[in-house]
Amino acid sequence: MSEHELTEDLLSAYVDDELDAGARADVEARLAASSEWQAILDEVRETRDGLRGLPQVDGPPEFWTRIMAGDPLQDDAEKDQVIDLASERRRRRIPRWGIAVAGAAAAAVVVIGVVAVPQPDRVRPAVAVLSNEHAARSSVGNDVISSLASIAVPTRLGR
Amino acid sequence: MRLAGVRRLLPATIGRLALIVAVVGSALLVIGAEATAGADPEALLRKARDASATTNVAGVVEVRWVDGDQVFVERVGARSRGDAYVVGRGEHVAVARDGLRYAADDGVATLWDRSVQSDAPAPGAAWNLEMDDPARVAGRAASVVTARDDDGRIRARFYVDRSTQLLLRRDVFDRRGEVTRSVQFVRLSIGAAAPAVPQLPGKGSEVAATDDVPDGFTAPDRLGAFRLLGRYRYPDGTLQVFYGDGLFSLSVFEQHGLVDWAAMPEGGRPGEVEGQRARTYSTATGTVVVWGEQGLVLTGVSDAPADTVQAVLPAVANDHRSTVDDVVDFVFGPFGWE
Repeated sequence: MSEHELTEDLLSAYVDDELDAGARADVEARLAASSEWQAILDEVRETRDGLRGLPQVDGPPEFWTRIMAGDPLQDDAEKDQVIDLASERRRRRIPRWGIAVAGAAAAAVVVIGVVAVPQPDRVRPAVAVLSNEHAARSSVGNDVISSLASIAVPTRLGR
Repeated sequence: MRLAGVRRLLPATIGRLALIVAVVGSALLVIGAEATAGADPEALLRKARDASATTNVAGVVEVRWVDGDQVFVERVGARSRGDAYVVGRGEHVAVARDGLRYAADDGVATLWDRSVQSDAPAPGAAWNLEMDDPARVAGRAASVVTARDDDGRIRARFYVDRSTQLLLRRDVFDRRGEVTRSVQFVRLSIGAAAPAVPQLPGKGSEVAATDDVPDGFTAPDRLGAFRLLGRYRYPDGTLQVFYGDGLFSLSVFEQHGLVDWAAMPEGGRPGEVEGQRARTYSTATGTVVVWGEQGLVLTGVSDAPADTVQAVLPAVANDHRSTVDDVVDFVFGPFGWE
């Protein structure tokens, strides 16, 4: 890809429709080629939608004073409550080895299905024998010699 | 003078002789015509069935059948004594005694219950029977019964011995009126001291009649004009459902699985039965059609005309269809989806 290295920030911008046409096309091409990044995109969207769904709350009176002073958080306890969204996403993301194990398990299920689950038998009906069996049954209670004569001739199955 | 008398007498004598010959010939023709016109074709065919079991014969039978543009002709020896029959010899011998049948060709001996044939339809149940002009087969005088379909086409002809009612010849016709299969005596000695019939193998593949249709199998009561006459299980699990229409018979053999098309015998012609891939063979016995339907391998065998067989076999598939199949057809049918 391209001049735009895909990052989560870029994805956020993509979700917020803040990219120009070229960057947007690059991102979409990368997403189309990677189910992993597609999953990350879903998370970004989920997070954004979750935030937008939160109720709007007015801050305490001194909040804006502290903002203006450049230190919005009052103490260490408040600072501990801050969540780094990027690291949280990384934590929740399925590790690569997990994807590999899941893929291998799926492949194993397919192989076991093919090998172990009984498949319908392939049958080659014995045309000549069944033909004779029919003639034999037909001869019972019927003209015997004309029925048996077809059994007594060598079997020939056309061209 | 003497010569002149002879000359006078000669025309008169020849005239009288000609008159006698004409009268006797006419009388014979009238008697023959009356015998033919008065005969009941259905009764005659019934007698022919029975005569096979009561007439000792020794002769040669010719089997002729057509497969596409090829014609096959084979001759086999045949003899019977009482209720025992032997046809052919060596590797290709078929032996019968009571309900037991043995075919050396495939090494299969089967035991059938004679009583199952008792409810077979009448010979004229599905065909229009009529007496035809007398004929000769293997040097013997024969009454001839012709079977026509509802469109008036000749589909079969039976030649019955005038003195013993033994069936001497049987021809089957296609829709164009061509003979596609024929079995006839070409040499025949009736009532002769026929050679003894060999003993059948003590043990064979005993076929068991069954009233039940196992799960996954199918046995419609009717296939067109053919009526169900019996269901049989083979030791390998194959189900045979046997039908008759009075003149012809039809079997459908059912086996679980899928048709192994790659392993099917050479020959035959590709086709379809109710939209399913099929292959049709022509054998000395008759038409053989193999196709697959919902996990079953189906093999239809019949001595009836090939087009008749093809027309009735879809009823096997229809009987096997589930309600879900019918709903899917109803919903998607108009769109041509399957």
